[in-house]
Amino acid sequence: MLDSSQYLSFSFASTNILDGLQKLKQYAPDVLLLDLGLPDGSGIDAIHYVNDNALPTGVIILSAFDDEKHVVEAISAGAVGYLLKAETHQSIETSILQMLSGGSPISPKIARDLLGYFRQIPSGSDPQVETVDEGIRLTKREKEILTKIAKGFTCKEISEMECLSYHTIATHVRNIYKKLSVSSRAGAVFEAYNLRLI
Amino acid sequence: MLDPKDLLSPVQETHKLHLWLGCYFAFIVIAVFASYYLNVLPPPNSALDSASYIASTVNHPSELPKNRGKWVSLPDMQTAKQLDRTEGWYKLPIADVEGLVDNKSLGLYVPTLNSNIEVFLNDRWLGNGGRMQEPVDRNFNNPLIFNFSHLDLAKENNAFYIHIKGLLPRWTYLSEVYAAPQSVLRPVYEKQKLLRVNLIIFTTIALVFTSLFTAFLWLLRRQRSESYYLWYSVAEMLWAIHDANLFIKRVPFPDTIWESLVTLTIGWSILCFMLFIHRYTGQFNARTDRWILRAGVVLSLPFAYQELEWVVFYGYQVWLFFILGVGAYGGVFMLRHYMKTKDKNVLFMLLACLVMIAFGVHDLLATQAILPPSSPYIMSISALLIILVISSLLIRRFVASLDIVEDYNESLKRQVLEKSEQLQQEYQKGQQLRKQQILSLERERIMRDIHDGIGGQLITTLAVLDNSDTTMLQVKESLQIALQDLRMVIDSLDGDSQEITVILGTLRMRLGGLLEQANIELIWCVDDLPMLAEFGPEKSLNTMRIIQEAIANVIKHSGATKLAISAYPELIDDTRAAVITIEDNGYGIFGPRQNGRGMVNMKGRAQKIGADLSIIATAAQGTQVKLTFLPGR
Repeated sequence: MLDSSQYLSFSFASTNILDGLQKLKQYAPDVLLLDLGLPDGSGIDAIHYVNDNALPTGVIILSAFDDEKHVVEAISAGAVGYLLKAETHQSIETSILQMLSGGSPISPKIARDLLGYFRQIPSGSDPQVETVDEGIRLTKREKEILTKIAKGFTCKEISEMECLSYHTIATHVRNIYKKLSVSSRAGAVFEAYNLRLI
Repeated sequence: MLDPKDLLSPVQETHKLHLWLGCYFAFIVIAVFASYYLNVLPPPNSALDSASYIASTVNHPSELPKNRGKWVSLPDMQTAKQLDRTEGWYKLPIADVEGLVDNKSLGLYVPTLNSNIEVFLNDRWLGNGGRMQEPVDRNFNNPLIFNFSHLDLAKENNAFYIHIKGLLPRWTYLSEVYAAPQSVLRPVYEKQKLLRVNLIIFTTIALVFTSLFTAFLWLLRRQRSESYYLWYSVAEMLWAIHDANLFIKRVPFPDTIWESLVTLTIGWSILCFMLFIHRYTGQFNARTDRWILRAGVVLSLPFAYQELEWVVFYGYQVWLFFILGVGAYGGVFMLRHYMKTKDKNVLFMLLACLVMIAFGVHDLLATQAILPPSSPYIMSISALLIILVISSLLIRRFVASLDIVEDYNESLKRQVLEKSEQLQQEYQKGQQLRKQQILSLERERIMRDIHDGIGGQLITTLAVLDNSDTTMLQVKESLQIALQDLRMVIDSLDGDSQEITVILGTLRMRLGGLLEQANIELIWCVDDLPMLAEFGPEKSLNTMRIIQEAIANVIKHSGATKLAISAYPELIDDTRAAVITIEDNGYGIFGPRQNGRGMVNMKGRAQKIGADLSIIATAAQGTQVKLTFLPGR
């Protein structure tokens, strides 16, 4: 598939994490297409590896059509997006290029999950929680966008309805992912606090 | 587990027989020893054994007629009775002055009396045993001692003058009189007082106390089957009133009433004790019980005739014999009950009563001079034994019944706990079964979905491959349909897909590419929809398949250029329904190739999930497929 692309070229392929991480260090590619369910561990480890070693690699999850929840997990760990395995070659190439240029993929189900996730974050008035960083909450606009996405509207349609540019919507989505990444780390802190580990 | 029936039967306490018998023996020994030890008399040579009785009612010896008296020897039980007098004087000449004058502190000791006396030495008043005017104080059980000094004695012709006043002639007797140094008389007097007054007061207080305590126990229980606490309490209180007669000097009522009361209380005390025994054993003849009670009431009536002689005669000649009869019945009853049930409680009570009877016989023998007349009276001490025995039995029974109630409560609690655990387990088992049932139903449904959808499509694909004219594109399309169906099955199983808008959104993602390929413009108008209850995977999947079928129809057969998918709430009969419409601008249903089977499928699915499906086709304008969900269907 990549042979026919004028923008992309293939550097390596690996069927397990151990081998993959070695090659990752060796080649330091721009894009890593990553399957989450690997024989010797979770693909999430590879994302952490990329983050920890500050590699220039953008990680894109290759997803089967039934594990979008894991995709959310992967994105909050630092992946830039995901691809469905069954998509056509053409759309895969387009998606890769889009993601590399800053677009963030999202589906109605993921939007729904994200809305549910952010609703769970305790509010600042909760006496159990000392402080909640307002930076990890969704803004009103972000909520509206997620709600629309959950109803099946495309980013283009939303930009028309909200009188915003397509890029603004894409930026909002990217911000939401960032907040997810931050809040999931903060969430771990909350949890540790509640368990009196710190 | 405790059987409630066990609780209703009389409580069976356990006893150590030898321990109890040991206690009885110890009590008898201590009682007899103590009473004999305390019952001492002054030396015989100090007794004044002769006196002259003067039937006079004057208030001072100087007023007595000289040399007119009847010589009697002391103790003098008869004179007053013979002369039928309740007042008189005794003149006791002192023969042996020499023995007295060496001591500064002297005394006159009168151990036994029934009435009251006033004592003079020559003309000098020494004292009295209480009030001498009517009503005269009583010294029924009180020893008396009077002090004087050797200076009070003249050289010769000394005499004590004892003015005596009583209630009845036969009670106006004078017992032994002793004149001796205080050092000799005091210890004797103290011991007598301890035995005959203090000990009786102590017994009476014990009776009152245990009576109140038992009444308290009865108040706590207050059950019909346990009225014996009350009867015992009453019996003790009556006995206490009777005992008071032995030490009360000044009676608060007229003498006749008091005399009636003394005999009535001892009688009713025994009667109540009988009723107590009956109820305590729980096995008695109700008729006998009623007869005893009735006889008691009837035989008490003659006391209403308030004449002292009559009351005393009736009390001691009739009433007391009736009471003795009741007492004998009680003894026999207890014995028979014990023989029948081997209930040791009753045996212990019987033994206590036997001890009392034995003490009573002892006293009787003493009064009849078969035992030395100076023997102490010990029957009233036996009340202490009865108090100890019965009270401890009652307390034991009370505690035992409390224990049983506690045990019962405990076991009830345990049973409730067990039952609730059992219930919970059964509930959980039921839940698990139901869950398994649901799971198995769900598995079956998923199998059917896969079989009907993907299975059917794969078979179609195979059939397509068999055709020699088939192109790769056709195979690919066919496989894509199979894959789409698989996605829908999986999407429908996602928990979040129970919201129609999310289903629509997901469906758009899956099918959007197809519409693009067919050059059909998609107009998307999805509003917020009311939440539908129990919109599970089955409804999700069928909804998706209906919409997919509708879209497929549009792509394949309608020749449309535009397709609008809308979702909005609609008020139908005051309920908010969720409506989905799929509209195209194609030929309408009468287009060149319409697939009837697809329509039938859609309608069948809509019926299955309780949704209304309407298809309105207008030639050359397009087709509208409308799916309506009413909540609660």
